[in-house]
Amino acid sequence: MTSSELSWRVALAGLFALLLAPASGLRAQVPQRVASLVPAATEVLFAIGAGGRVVGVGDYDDYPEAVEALPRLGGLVDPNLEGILAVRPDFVVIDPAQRSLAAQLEGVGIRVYPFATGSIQEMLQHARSLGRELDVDAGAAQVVSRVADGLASVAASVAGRPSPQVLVVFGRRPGSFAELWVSGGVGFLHDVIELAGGRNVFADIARPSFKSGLEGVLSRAPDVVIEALVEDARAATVRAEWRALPGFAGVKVVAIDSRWALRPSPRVVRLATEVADALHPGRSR
Amino acid sequence: MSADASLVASEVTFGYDQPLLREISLRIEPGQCVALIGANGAGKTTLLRILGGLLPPQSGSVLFAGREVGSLSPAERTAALGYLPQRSPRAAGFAVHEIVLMGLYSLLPARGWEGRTEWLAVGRALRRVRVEHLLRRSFATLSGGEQRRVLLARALVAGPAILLLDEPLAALDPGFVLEFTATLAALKAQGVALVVSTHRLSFVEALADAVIVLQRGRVLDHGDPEAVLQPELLNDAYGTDQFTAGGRA
Amino acid sequence: MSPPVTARRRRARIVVLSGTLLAGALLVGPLVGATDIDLGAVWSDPFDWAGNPAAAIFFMARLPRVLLAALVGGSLALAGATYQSLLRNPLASPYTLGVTAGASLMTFLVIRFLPGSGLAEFTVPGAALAGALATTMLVMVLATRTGGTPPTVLLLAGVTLNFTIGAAVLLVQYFADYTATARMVRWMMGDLEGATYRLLAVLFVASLPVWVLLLRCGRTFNLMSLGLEEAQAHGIDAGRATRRGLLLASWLTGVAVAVAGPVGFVGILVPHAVRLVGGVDYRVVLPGALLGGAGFLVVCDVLARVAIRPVELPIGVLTACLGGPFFLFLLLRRGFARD
Repeated sequence: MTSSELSWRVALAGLFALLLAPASGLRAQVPQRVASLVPAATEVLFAIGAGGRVVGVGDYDDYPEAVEALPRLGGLVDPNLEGILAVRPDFVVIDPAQRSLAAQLEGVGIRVYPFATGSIQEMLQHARSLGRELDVDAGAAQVVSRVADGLASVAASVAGRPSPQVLVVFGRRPGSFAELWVSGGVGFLHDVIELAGGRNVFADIARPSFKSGLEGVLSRAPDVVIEALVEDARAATVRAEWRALPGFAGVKVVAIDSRWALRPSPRVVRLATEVADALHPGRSR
Repeated sequence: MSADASLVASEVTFGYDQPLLREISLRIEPGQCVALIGANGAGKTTLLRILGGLLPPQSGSVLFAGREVGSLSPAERTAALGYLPQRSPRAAGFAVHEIVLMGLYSLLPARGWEGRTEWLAVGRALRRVRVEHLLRRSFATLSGGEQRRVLLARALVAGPAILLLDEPLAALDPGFVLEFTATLAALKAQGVALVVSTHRLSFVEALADAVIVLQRGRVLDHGDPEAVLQPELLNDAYGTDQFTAGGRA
Repeated sequence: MSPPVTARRRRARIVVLSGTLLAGALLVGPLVGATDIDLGAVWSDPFDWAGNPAAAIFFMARLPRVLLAALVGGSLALAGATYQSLLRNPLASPYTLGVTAGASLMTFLVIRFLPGSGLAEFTVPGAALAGALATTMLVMVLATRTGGTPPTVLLLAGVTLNFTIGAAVLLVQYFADYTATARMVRWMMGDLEGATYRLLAVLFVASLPVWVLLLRCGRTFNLMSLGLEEAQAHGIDAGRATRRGLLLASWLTGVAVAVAGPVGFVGILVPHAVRLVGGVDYRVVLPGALLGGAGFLVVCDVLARVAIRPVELPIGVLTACLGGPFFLFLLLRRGFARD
């Protein structure tokens, strides 16, 4: 090898080193400006103690209150790329389905974190993972143990009690039982029910949600109906509608708020507690 | 057909923004063949439709056997006046006998169905135009000439005294033209009056007892074809200078 | 020369055929479902729904659905046949003139702005019906202003409205929150559940007179399907016949969509199926469509409830699955394109 060829290789190697250094440097830096397009992730971020670094949230975010003051960056199908870039984040939490958004953000060097909303376990894993990424491991560990303890305590308080049959309803056409969507034996809400000492009437159906006819509901004869409502104000109507069904006169109807109860977040303990109270009124905490 | 089954139009006027017909008067006697000629847009189709009672004149009247055609019930009108439109319909799947039967719809009772009488009439009409062998064929599969004959049968099926035909020879090949002309001649011999709008001057000479030349909604001239169809008049009517003493379209 | 099979006899054959299909479907429909019930138990105490779950399922969950399927299927098919005749287009459906778009818009506005309304049982259907009729009126007005009622003008007006209202629908969906959007999407899938006997009675009373009126239009539709000039040549006021027919058909469609959402394929396909068997004479096609459409939708509903029970398939999926291949068959069949 001549000296000129050698110097070329050294120069090239030096160039590569220069290129790699900033990347590794980025990796070493803790993100300071975090954007979140997933409501559940936003709640987790605030819970683990990274709330101060959140600079923008999604359209559907509503908890905690601090998000009210933050810029809105779009929803699942329509993330606002310009808005996101305008808040100059270095870490963006997205839904795994938002692949093109991910590609665009990574293209300009912004770190992307896919947050899949699934079960409670997945949510806790995300909490730990985000804690690592954002250097709040202690906060994350706290959240994880708080939630785990809380859920364990709920489970303990209903242990040994007979499990009422529970029907979980995501939605239907108001005033009728058309467009009735219910929870199968898979998914976040199913997990909460089971944990709170209930037995999902559709536990044998391996789908998180599906359409059921009235016949399916009548034949499974639940003791409790948990329905996700838009507003509390209609709870009485809803109750009356369910109780009017033959054989449902004694059914307990529990309304949960669809805005947050369908979201796997650290507030799951509160949801589990509420459900456990509804399913087992006499339980000791 | 009684002697007073004649069609009399008096001062018929019709138009939208511009007048299409201005004070047209004519008379058609039973068994007569009257040809309507004129350039496109002269008002031939409009006149035929008004004569047939399909369009009410804005002023003037059309009387059949002394009665206003507009005041005839659909049944009376079908029995009196047959109409052959210019264009063949896209007869989406109908068979020939169904098409011809439609000519009798207005004569059927309100909730009634066709019976033996109607079938016989359909058969008769098809025989009159010599296409009874096409009875069960699908209309859409027929040639242009055959379709025209079937539609003529439909116009005839109720046994009208007067037939109004709008350019019946358009787009037919010479063979069909001759056959169709022969059919019309036979009908005329049976006493059916014919009012035919056409561009085929040879047809006019062959069959018409009288010719009416329309120009921009007015009668330019009328009378015996030999006398009327002179080159200067034809040039004027069609807006050209190509008619000479020797040539004829 | 003997006459071919008369239209009257063909109608009788079609009525018997489709009537049998319907009767069979109505019989079988309530007997099967998402669960297995003891039919003996149903009849042992048929009115004690609270105490007799089998009877509750039979009379409350199954029978109303089957009846609703028959009503909706019959109305949509009859409306579809009407549209195909008056618009002179074999691809016309009850939704061509924008009826669904109008119904959707009103439904979605109600879902968005009155999510918890108390008059619930009739609010969504009422809004849908209002939207459907308003759209039809709009189409008529548009068409009359721009060129009268020849089919091309009507079709253009309908397509225009479909796009415009469709845009408005998208806008409403976009600005609604997640739950409302989910509800809208579910409505669009169509659903035969949720009919009470009271609603069925209202529907029947609202539909029967229109059925009777349309069934009488066989001759008129025959003439109309040949062309405006043809119809006029036979003494029909084509404009009036078109307006009247389309209004009646839109009423039927609006009522059906109001209760069951937009169920696709029935209106466009059943008339063609009837034509395949019974010929193109509308005096045969109209009653055939009414009965055949009813039977078809009942069959689809049974399959929707039973195919992957207890999970239900949306009815629109079934009609598409059964209807799509049939339509393909029709297209490939020699001579269809020519008609």
